This record gives sequence, C-alpha cells and structure tokens, in this order.
Amino acid sequence: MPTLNSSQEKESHRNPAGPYLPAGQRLTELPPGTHARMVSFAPGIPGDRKAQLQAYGVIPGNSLWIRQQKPVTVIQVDHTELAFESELAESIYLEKL
Amino acid sequence: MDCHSPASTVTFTGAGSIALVGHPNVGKSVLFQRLTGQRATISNYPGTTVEIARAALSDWPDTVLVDTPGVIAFPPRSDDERVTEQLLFSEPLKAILQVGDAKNLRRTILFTVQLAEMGVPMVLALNMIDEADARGVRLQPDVLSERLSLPVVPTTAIRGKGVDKLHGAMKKHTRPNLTIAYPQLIEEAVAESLPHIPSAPISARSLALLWLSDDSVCEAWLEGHADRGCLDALREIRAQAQRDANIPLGEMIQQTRLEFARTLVDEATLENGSTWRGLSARLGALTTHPLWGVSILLLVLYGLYWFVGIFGAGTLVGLLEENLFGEILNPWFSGLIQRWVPIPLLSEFIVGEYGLWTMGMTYALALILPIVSTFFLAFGVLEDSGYLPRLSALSNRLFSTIGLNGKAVLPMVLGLGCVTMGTLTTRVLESKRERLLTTLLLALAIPCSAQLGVVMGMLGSISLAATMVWGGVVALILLAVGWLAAKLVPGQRTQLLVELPPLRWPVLSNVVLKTLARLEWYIKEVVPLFLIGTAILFVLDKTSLLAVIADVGRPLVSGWLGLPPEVSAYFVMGFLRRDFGATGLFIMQQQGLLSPVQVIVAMVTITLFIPCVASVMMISKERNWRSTLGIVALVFTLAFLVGGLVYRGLILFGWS
Repeated sequence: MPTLNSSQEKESHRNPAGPYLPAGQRLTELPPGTHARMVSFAPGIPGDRKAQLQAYGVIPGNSLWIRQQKPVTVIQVDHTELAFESELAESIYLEKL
Repeated sequence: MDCHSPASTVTFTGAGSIALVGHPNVGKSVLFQRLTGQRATISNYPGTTVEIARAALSDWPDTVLVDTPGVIAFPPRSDDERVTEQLLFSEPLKAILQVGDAKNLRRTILFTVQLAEMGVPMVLALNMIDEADARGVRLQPDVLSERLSLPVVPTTAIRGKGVDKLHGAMKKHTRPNLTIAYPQLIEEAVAESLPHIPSAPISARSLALLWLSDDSVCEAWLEGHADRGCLDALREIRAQAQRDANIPLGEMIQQTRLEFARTLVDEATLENGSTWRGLSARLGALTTHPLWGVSILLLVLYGLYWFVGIFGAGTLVGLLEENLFGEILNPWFSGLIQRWVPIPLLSEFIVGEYGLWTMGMTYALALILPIVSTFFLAFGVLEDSGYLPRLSALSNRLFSTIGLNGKAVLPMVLGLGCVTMGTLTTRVLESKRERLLTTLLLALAIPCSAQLGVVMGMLGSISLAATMVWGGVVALILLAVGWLAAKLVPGQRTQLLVELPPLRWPVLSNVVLKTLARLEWYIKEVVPLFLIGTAILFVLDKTSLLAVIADVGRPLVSGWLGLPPEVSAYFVMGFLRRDFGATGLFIMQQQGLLSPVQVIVAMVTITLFIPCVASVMMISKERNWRSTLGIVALVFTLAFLVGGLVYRGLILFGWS
C-alpha cells in the first residue's frame, strides 16, 4: 500500500471521497487562464518527472497559471513556462485560487 | 571505522579551471563568449558524444573556463547532466561560476544550494536582468550574497553588463560557508558516512548527500576511489536510513532545500513581477496554439526550404560547383596533375572521372558544404530563438503514436539537413529506447538535404502527383515502422516535459560560432569518409566490379523493382555518397531512360535505402554493432520490399 506523508494524510482526511484520493482537481480538469495552487502529486507519478517538476517549482503550496491545455498542457510557474502532455498533467492536483 | 584521514576539499592555485554551470537556457554560452572573448575548443567529453567548450579567460590566461551542459539539479537525469557532474569531480577546479535566470530565482537558488555545499569557491551570476526588469521583478542581490556567503552579480550577458564585476568576483576565490540543517535522520546518516569518504574535489558533506540520494555519478566516483570496506559501510548506512524513512532519502533532502530556497527568495525579492504579456510572449503563445502553431510551423518550414533549398542548394552550389570549381579550380588542378604526375592511373585517381579531387573533394566542398552550412545556420537560428521546444510541444501527439515524444523532432529535423548529424543528436533523448527508435527511423525514412534536392527535382519534373505519391509512401512507412517498432522494442515511453523559454532574437555571433563548430566537426568526421567512398568507386570502376554488381543485382533491381539494371550500380554509389545515387538517376531521367513509374519507384527506394556510409559509421558509434547490423538489414529489406510494392501498386492504378 502506498504510504502517505503527513501533509498528504491531512489532505485526505478532509476529503470525503476516501483516504487515497488527493484533494483538489486534476490539472487537466481546469481551463486555460486558471490561477491555482498546487496541492499534491498523484502517487503513481514517475519519480524522475516528479523531481524535475519540483525543481521547476511545481510543489505543494506554490501557485501557478494554466496557459493552455491543447495540444499539450502549458503552465507558468514563477516566470517559467513548462509544456507537458496530459498524461503527466493528470498526476498534478490543484486548488483553484 | 576510520578508513581515511579526514576529508578535505582541495584548492588549486596557479593554473586550473572554472566550471560554468547552470540550468539550460540561462545564457551560459553567451556569458562564456563574453568572459573568454575567443573561439573555444570544443571537444567531446571522453567516452561520450557530449560537447564541452573550453577557452582561457580573457584577463586570466592560465585559467580555463569550461562551459558545461545545462543541469536542472543533481542527481543527473540525462547524459548531459551526468557529464556536468563528472566534470565537477574531475576538473582541477579553481571555482564554480553558476549562471542563473534572475527572473526565476527559486529554482536557481535550489541549484545554488547544491553547488555551494560542495565547498568550492563560487560565484553566482544572475543573468537576464533585462528580462527580469521587463517583468517587474526586483531583487536584492546583497541579501542573497549574505545568506549564501558567496558573491552574487547581476548580469545581462547579451549586453555585456556586469561582466567586469564577474571577473573581479571570480578572482576573489570566496569559498561559501553554507550549512543547511536537514532532518535528523539525514544528518545522522551524513555524520556516520563522513569517516568513510575519501578526499575529494568536493566537500565530504555534499558527497554524502549525493550518495544518500542514489546519485550514479557519485557512486561511480566512490567505487573508483574508496576501498571495499568503506563502500560496504556506506551502503549499509544508506540502506538503514532508507528503512527508517517513509519517503526516498533524495526526496527528503530536496524538500529541505526547496523550503530553504523558498524562504531565502521571499527575503531577497522586493517585487515578484506580474505575468508579462509583451510581444514575444504573445507570439510564443501562438507557436504552441493548435491552429496558429501549425501555420507558424509551415511558415518556418517554408523559410527553411527557401534558405537551404533555393539559396543554398541552388544559388550557392551553382556558384561553387559550376563557376569556381567547374570553370576555374578543376581545370587548373587537373592540368597540373596531368602534367606533373607521370603515372596515368595515379593521375586519374586524383583528377579522373572518379578522382579524389574532381569527384570527392569537389562534391564535398562545392555541393555538400554549402547545403549543410546553410542548414546549420538556419538550425542555429531556430535553436537560439527558443522555437524548437515549442515545435516539440506541437508535434508531441504525432510522435506519441510511434512511441516517442516531441523531443524526437530535433534529431529528425536535423536529419533533413544531414542524417549523420541527426543521428548524433539523438543523444538529447532521454532513454536508450527512444534513441534506438529514432535512429532507426532516421536511417529508414529521413532523406538528407543532399538527396532531397535531386529527388524533388526529379519528381517535380513529372508531376505534383508523383511528388505526393513519394511523400505519402515515405511518411506512411515512417509511421507504420515507427508504430510497429515501438510495440516490439521493450521499455516505457517517456512523457514529454519541456521548458518553453521566451522567444528571443538569436545572438548572431553565437549562431555563427555554433555553425562554425558544427562545420568543423563535419569536415573532420564526414568528409574523409566521402573521400574513401570516392576511392572505392574508383576501384570498382577500374576493376569493372561495378558492372558485376549491376549483373548480380539484376533480378532484384529489374525483376522486382522494374528498373533498368544499371540502377543497381547507383544504389551502391548511393551508399557511399547519398547524392551520387540520386544524381546518377537524374542523368538517366534526363536522357529519357526512365519512365515516370520507374522514377517514382527509384526515388522511394533510394529514400528508404540505408543512408550514406558516414551515417552508418555514426550509428555504430552511438549504438552497438548488433543494433547497427540489425538496423542496416531491416532498412535494406524494407527499402526493396516497399519499392517493389510501389511498382506493382502504380501499375495497378494505371500509371506507366
């Protein structure tokens, strides 16, 4: 079973949908122009992608802008634009601001 | 257990190097030029195809500045990043100069922290201050400098601002005194590890942290420098710490650094700036737009076609081949050789029909060089403008159908200029699987610029439909083989994640220097192979082996493909020089020896046929012998198979 760290556990207790469903909405569900705060990564995300995204600033608590969803997802973190495909975007959970 | 004397960080006085490190796209190369002011020596890092530029600092002659490939963070995730880390271990480092993007301070500092912990004298250059200003970002470099205990110099490299201050700061040899407190679990593991770590170019603490993060370069270094007992102890410490932790140790370490960076950046930032909507930003958004993006791409492709195809292949080649070589150089040189070289065979070897000079060098310098130069120049402009990652984003969906991601567009587009160079560039792809698949497709279905010109010319003189049949068949094969190969080759597809830098005007001097470096590589690596190819053709011609090959190939070429038997000789030539094959066929067409169907079949076959000898050599360098043979065999078979099918298909549809 995947173990949750303490912040993830807190999030899941607030979420009535169940202990392993992260709070917030998936990045793919939000329209371009949204300003959102990053909540968590889905447990299945590849480790190296997670580390790269974190290095760019996609970390819980940081805010980002969604610029585009088709044909790829483009977000802006600080003053950097990142493009990645929707498979990866599905693994990022956000809260609208 | 105390295996060694306490670890210390070595300092080099006198001659040594300064490593220029930083994220990709932060202006390292421009700063490199500003600091060294001269042509750099570009060489491959031993055992890799990663290019490293070195040059002496302009006011500090015994110190060499080493430009390293961009790194996001350690542990490294690509060959480029690995090489940068290896350089930090192996170079006689006087100092580290990190170049950071001033407007993206948080991720810059994240890397600064990792570097500062290494205990090597260090300077941080916050570059692209002009772009930060344009976005309303205002920083306090002094606060950063104080907290990190190292000089922080704002710069705008393309305008030369801050470069003098940088020179001064580097000479100060300030060794940072930065200690971040990690969670207790980590600190304890580090403390236990220290006695087992040998003397290293970087601090033992940073080595221990890399070790705990499963860093492969650090592991390799330790395996080479520490004895068995120490290594076993280190492995046990790490394993134990990991058992006690509920997340990977590397993640724990990174989280601490992220928090530190966040706090520090908040302190040092006066204004975060607002989302910038300047012209370049809006244009940038259009380049990845599903509709506008494609239109812009078509425009770019047309520009490429015009510059390389019409100006390069047409105007420049015409001037060089017909005028300079055809009318002036070759007759003069031929006359010279024929007069002074007594042996007719030798003189023919040099200036005869298949002469080293008249065929080999003339084609290399008058035909290939201008085409390839214009291509590299145009490509350099695209690279430096920041357009290529956007092209990756746009083409990602297409590439995902063949098991790759949008990054593969880079080697593929380069392959249109020169397949050899495209194959070399597959190293930017992140996994072995992707590199193999892309190499296969390059060898199979990407025609290089030398060949493209002739092919398009020949097909164009028949009809547009002919060109479309050719294009359609090649594209179909590319996708079909790509799709199938992706299913058969084991491994996962890497999902696209790419930074989109702002669109910028390319710095012309940078583009020119890059092009010159590529041309130098080309002349050194590829041209000799062409000369060898010419020599082989000379031998084949003199011994009439060429006619023998034509006979041997007859059933295949005439029977299956429906082409005149002489064509098999051109296929052999096409292997040695890709345009030779095409040109030979062109002459046949002009003499009325080929029907439209035969032209299409021949063009399809030579496009799919194995690329020139230089490419095959490059493939064997990048991959192993087994893969190379496999690729060659597969491509050879497919080319003839498809050619024959096209022949029969066209007849069926009423072509003649």
